[in-house]
This record gives sequence, structure tokens and C-alpha cells, in this order.
Amino acid sequence: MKFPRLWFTQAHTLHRVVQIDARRIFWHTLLLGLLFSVLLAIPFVIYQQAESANRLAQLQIDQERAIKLARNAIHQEMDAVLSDLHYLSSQNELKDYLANPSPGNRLELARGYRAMARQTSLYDQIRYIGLDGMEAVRVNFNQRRPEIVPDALLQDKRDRYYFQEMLWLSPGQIYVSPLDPNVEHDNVIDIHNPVMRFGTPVADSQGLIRGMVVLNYMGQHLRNKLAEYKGQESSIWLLDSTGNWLFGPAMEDERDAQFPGRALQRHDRLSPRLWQQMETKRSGVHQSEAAWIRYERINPLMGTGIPDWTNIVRPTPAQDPTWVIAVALSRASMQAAGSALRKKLAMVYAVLAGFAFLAAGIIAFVVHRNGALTRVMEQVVDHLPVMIAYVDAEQRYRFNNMAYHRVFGLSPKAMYGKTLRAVMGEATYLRFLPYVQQTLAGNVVSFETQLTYQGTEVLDMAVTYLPDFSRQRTVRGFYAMVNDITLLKGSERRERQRILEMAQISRMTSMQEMAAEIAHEINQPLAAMAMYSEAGQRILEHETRYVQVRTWLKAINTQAKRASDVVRRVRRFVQKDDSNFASVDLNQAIRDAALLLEHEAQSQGLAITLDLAPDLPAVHGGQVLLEQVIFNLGRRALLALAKQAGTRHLSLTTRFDRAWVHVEVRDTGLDLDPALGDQIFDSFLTSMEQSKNMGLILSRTIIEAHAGTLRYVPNPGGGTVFMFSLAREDGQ
Amino acid sequence: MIPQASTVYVVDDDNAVREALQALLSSVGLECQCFASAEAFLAVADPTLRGCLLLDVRMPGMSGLELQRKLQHGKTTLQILIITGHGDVTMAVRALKAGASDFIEKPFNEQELLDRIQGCLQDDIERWHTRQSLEQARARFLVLTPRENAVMELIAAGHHTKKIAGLLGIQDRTVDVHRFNIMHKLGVRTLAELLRLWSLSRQAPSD
Repeated sequence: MKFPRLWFTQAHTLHRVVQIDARRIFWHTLLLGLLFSVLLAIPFVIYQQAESANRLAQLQIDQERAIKLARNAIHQEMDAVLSDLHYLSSQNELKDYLANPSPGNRLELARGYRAMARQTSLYDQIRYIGLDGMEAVRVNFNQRRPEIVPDALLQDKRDRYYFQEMLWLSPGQIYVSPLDPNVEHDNVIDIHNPVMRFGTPVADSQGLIRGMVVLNYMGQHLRNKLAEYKGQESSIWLLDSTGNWLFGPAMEDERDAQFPGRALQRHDRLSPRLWQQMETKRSGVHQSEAAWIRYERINPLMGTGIPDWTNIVRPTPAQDPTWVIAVALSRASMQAAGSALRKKLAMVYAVLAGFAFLAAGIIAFVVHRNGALTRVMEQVVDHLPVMIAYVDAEQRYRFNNMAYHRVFGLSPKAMYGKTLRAVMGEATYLRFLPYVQQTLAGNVVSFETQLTYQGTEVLDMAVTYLPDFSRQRTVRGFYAMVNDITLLKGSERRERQRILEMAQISRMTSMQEMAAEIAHEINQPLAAMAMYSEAGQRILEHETRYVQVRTWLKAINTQAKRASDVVRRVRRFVQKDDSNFASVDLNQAIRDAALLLEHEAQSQGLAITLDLAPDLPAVHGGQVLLEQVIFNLGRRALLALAKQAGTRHLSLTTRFDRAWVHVEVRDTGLDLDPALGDQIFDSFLTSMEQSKNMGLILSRTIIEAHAGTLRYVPNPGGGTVFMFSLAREDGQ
Repeated sequence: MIPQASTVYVVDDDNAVREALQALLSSVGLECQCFASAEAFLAVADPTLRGCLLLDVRMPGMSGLELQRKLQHGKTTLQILIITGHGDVTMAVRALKAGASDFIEKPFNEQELLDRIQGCLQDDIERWHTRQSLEQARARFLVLTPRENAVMELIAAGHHTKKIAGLLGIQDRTVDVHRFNIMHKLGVRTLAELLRLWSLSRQAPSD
């Protein structure tokens, strides 16, 4: 299986083999993302609630402010009108006109009125009407260009209701008409220009009432003023004391003004319930399906703006001169604001929720991957052939891998929390204790020891303790890594044993060599003795006088022979014993010898090539002896190669034919001097080469003891080939 | 040519053994010359030496076998008797393969040694005689003229007179005269005798 290499995997870490389960990550992401989104929604909802409550409060404050402003505006307006009326009723021009109603004075009066109209822009008409009902002076506002109405157009107002009403007033009293559209004989003249008439009777210097001053106040002015105070989402209404609209929702809307039958609404009332509330309470709030309506009942003429006005008589018209100011806030506009907020919040929330899902995805991925990595690590740790444990400072096992289970038969669960003493047993524990203490003192400790396992088997263990430091540099515990090296130790022991055996054989063989030497050395004088005595006997053969001497010479000869026999027997005794001979696989012998040579070859940086014939027939001989021969030849080759530069090869080869098994040791080292010939095998070589050749002499002796021959030829490519051949055990 | 007296040459590094051997050999009336090393013998080695060489294989310096190898290259015609250590069979075999006449294991029975030496000396004498007659035969042919030699070779090849005459481009009679002269010079009476002498002269100078 090919593992994809991802950007987050490093080249040589376990991360690469970790499997990613995209399906699980997806579901975890979904779950976590939903959870995060829900949690995230809570502050949004709370904020939205608080914000809309806040907004509502703000709107209410706005409403209250609008009402207050409207009230002040109305009072100001009314005060201004009353002040103007007071002025007009007591001005000198009027007094002059009343004293002498000449056309000149009338003109003066008219001019004064015109100046007033121009200056204030509040009045549609300013008039002086005589007691007979005829307008004596009249100034029309005429779209901001006040004009004095010519005499011919002056009208008789005898039958007007306001004229009638004012006839009953005494000077100082003021008549105020309701604010209504210009109504002439019950016909609406101009719906857009509601008018409020203010009038007061005037008397001449004798105190006789001569006429009346009448101001037609333009309601439009008040409406415009109020419109300035209405809030963004609210509208200001004005109702009269009977609940009829003065300025109502209909008037606010320019389109509705063109609606036919508009006049009918003039007397429309609010919903009965709302009006009932307004009639009973001076101010309050009404909440209905469509709107929130805050209202306050006021008397428009009870303003306090003009100090000297306090003394004048307040008008007392027939109707109650109270108005209701209402500020309406439509539900729709409130909701519109709320929904705008909601929309904004929803957008922010959606972005944040997206981030939440992203974070959830990352978390799910990291958690999943860490989990997978941990599982991989656990698997690896559990299946290592090394016992791995964590031991805390109290010497209790906190973690054990499955290798412990294999050795101690205790599951990691059963080991958890047990002390070293309890698991190892007292005797073993005491042996380990110094190492444990050293480790807990903060040192890395490695040692080899033997454990008696299950009472019988002895295991060799290589132990490493690695202290685990806390952040304060105290030892929290340590990691224990225990390697079972029984097999390794065993083979080490066997190897040592084999080398010892080799040395023993070497010693034995040299003893045999020595015995041969000694025998030779003793035999020489013995032979001389025998020959001297024999010679003497022969010379004295025919001398009868020396019979006794001849007998003695013969005895000497016999004794010399006897000594020689003893030497021969001793020599035969130490002679190589063939009783250990058996079937030998030369291939195996070569492999074993190559293992022994491996180290030296490696230190020289060359490899030993084995070219072994398969199915090599066995030979009869001593396995160890033949190994020794191959080892000796190999060693000699390595010595020869050590002095050599350039290509260096050492190969061990086996071949066989119908009768023989051949072994070759081929090197590319220094050439042997061919002139030396068989001398290199000769133990009597006097040169310095002798010590080096001891191995060869021994080898030759061993091979000859196996009825084989050891010889050498130059290697065609340089170097030397040593070869020997031994008879096949099954040979013909 | 007067044959030299047979001598036993002894090469052995051991003084005592050497002198004892000399005593033993002189006790039976054999001429004996002793050398302490192979090199010493090699210095006097000469093809005219007569007798046998008694050679110990185990010696420091040049070993017995080494000396044997060197002597083979025309240095001597001596019979070589090798003395080997006890049980050193392989050494003996190698010596025999290298051309030794015989070998004897040490320690040896003196009588056996003497018998072997006698055997070797006898061989040497026989071989000397053979060589002598061979050389005489060869010397007799030296008196022939080149033409007679040519005729002799064709006779030895078994050709008749006519064939020989044809091959040499001479008269039959002339061939007969040559043959008569050859037989007269060599002192043989029959053709069979002539051919035996011819084949003897053609043998290898040594064995």
C-alpha cells in the first residue's frame, strides 16, 4: 500500500503511516460545529434582546421629547398670537381711526396691519370689522405678499359665527375659534389651510365698543413647526377636545390629501378605546396592534411665555380649549428597525458560525489524528521485543507494555500501581535497588543483569533507566527499557567457548609438533649410539679376546633401541587422535570460519565472498580442525591483503568432483615468492617468516592428517590461492 | 675410462649421527664422506661422483628435499637414499616422487641401513656400466664419415640397398661399399649386431 505524503507529514516520522478516517472526522466536525454554533448563539440572542429593549426605551424617550417640544411650540405659537392680538387691539393707529374714521387714518391702520402680516407671516387675514359686520380694514396674506384689500372687495361678516360670538364680549376678552379648515357656510374652503380665528372687541376713548380686531391664524404654520419635532419613526398628531383630528395621520401624507372624500375624515375619531383613555387621563401611552401612541392633553392658550399677559383676561370660548398631542410610533417602523438589527446580527453570526465549524473541523482533525498516532505508538510500543515501563518516584509501575505480559505473565492492568519489589521479588529487587536509586537521583543508568524467570530459566537482560524530570527538575519517575539478550549472550558465550577450543587445539597441535621435535632430538643421539655400538661389534666380530666387549656393545645397542621405542610410544600417545572424526560439512565450516574472520575483514574494509557449491558432499574429519585450517588460511590472506593497496578480495570457494571436495582460499594480496616453494610449510625455515607461517605449518599438518594435501598457486590476478582437497566420505 | 671407487656421501646436520654413520660404514669397509649441510655437499657435487647419497630430510637451512631437487638438474648421478623421521610417510612419498631411490625411517636397524646402502651402490655400479657401454657405442659411431652416417640412418630405418641408393642418388654398389665400410669400422659382423649397436647409441645418455 502506498501512503500519500501530505504537507503536514514530515519525512521520517510515524505521522506518515497514520490513517485518516475522513468519515469520522466529518461527523465529529458536524457535531462539534453544531455545539459551538448553539453556544455562540446565546450571546447573540441576549444582545439582540437587550438592544431591542434599549431601542424601545430610546423610542419612548424620543416620543416624550417630541411631545414636550410640541407642547412648547404650541404654547409659544399661541402666546405669540395673543400678544399680537393684544398689540393690535391697543395700537395708536386704531385709536386714531376710532377717534376720527377718516380714510387717511383707515389707510394708516391698514398699513400697520400689512406690516404686521409681513413681519409675522402667521396670519392669513388681519381685519378690523365694525359693529355693523362690515370689514373696515382687511389685509390678506396673499402668499407672503400681504396686500390691503380694496374697499370694493370688503365683505359683510354680520352673519358669521365668530362675529356673532364676539358681539357678546367685552373689551379685554378674547375669542378663539377652534382650529379648523376655512369653513364658510359649512363649506370647506381650503383643507390645507386650517385656520384659527382670534378676535377681541375694541372700544374708543369713551369706552364704547366700536368694532373688533380679528386675526386668522394659519394652522399650517403650527403644523410645519410640529413636523420639525417629530422623530424619525414617529409622527405627531393633534386632536381637539372632542377627539377630532386637527393634524392627523391623514394630513401627514401628501398622497392621501388628494384622496376624494377627504373632507369626511375631518371629524373622524380615534378608536373609541384610545379616545376613552385620552379623555380620562391627562397623559399616557396606548399600545395597540398598529402603533404605540403616547399622548398628553394640554391647554394651548395656557402658555406662560409673555409676562405681562398674565393680567389679561383669558378667552373663554364655548368649547373646551384643550388639545391632545399624540406621538404615534407604528409597529411596522419599530419592527423594521428590529429586523434591520436582526439582519446585521444574523450576518455576523453566520460568519462566526462558519469560523466555529472551521475550528471544529481543525479540532476534530487534530484530535482524531492524535488519537490515531497514539494508537500507532501504542501498537508499536506493545509489540516491541523490549519491555518498556514507566515507574514513578514511589517505585510503582505506571505503565507497562505487552512485553511484560510475555515475560512476567501479568497484564499491564494487573501491573499498574504495583511496586517493583512486589513484581520482582525481594532478592531481585535488592539487586536492582542501587540502579533504581541512582536513576531517581537523576542519572541515566544502563546495566546488564540476569533474572531467574519462573524459577528455572535464567534470562540475560540489558536494562536502561531513563529519569523523567518534572519542570522543577525533580525526578518524577523513570522509564525502564529492558531488553532480553539471553540469545545474544548465549551466542557470545558459545563464541568465546569456540575461541577457547580453538586455542586449545592450537596448543595441542603445537604440543604434537613439539613432541615430534623432541622425539627427533632424542632419536638422533640414540641413533648415533646404536650405530657406534653396531660399528664396534662389527670390528670386534672376529677378535676372540674382546667377546666381553662385544657383548657390552650389543647391550648398548639394545638399550638405545629400547629408549628409541619409548620415545616412539610417547610420540604416538600425543599424536593426533582420530576418534573425534565425523562427517563434516565444509560449507558450514567455511561459514563458521568466515564469521570469525568477519571482524578483521571489516576493520580492513573488505568483504569476504563465499562461493559455496550447493549440495557439497561431506568429508570425514574433525570439524573444529578443518575450521582452524580455513581460519588460518583466511587470516594469512587478510595479513597479505593488509599490505596491499587497490583491489582487495578474499573469497572462499568450495567445489567437488566424483572423488574429492576442493576448498580454495583466494586473495589478491602480496604475491608469495614462488621460489620459496614448499618451504613455507617447513617448520625449519630459519627466516623471519617462520612465525607467520606457523599457521600454515599447522594447517598442513591438519590437512595431511586428513589424508589430503595443502598447496598453493599464484592467483592469476595477483595474490595467492591456497587449496586443499579432501576425499568425499561417500567417495569411490 | 677408469671407474672411480664407490663412496657413500652422508649429509646430516647432527654431528654425532654423522660420525656414528661414518664409523658404521667404515666398519663394513665402505668409503664414506660426510657433509654437515646440504650447501656443503652442493659445493662439491659433480656428475662424476660415484656411489650413493645418504640424505637426512630434516635439516636447518636447505632441507633434504630441497637439495634433492637441486641435484636433479644434472649435478649428479648419485643414487639418493632418504632418511625420514618416524611416521613421516608423506615426506617419504614426496622424496620418492622427486626421484629418490629409496628411503629409510629413523630410528633404523643398522643392518637394514647397510643393506639399503649396498643395494644403492650396486644400482650405481650397474648404471655406471650401462652408461659406459652406451658411451662406447656412441664413440664408435664417431669414426663414420658423414656419408656413411647418412647411409647408416637409412639402414636403421629399414630400407633396402636399392631404396637407399635411390634416396641418396648414388649407385647400388656404392651403397654396398658404404655398408661394408661401416660394419668394418664398427667391428660388427652381422646386420643384427649393427642395428643393436645403433639403437644402443641412440638411447638417452642417462636413465
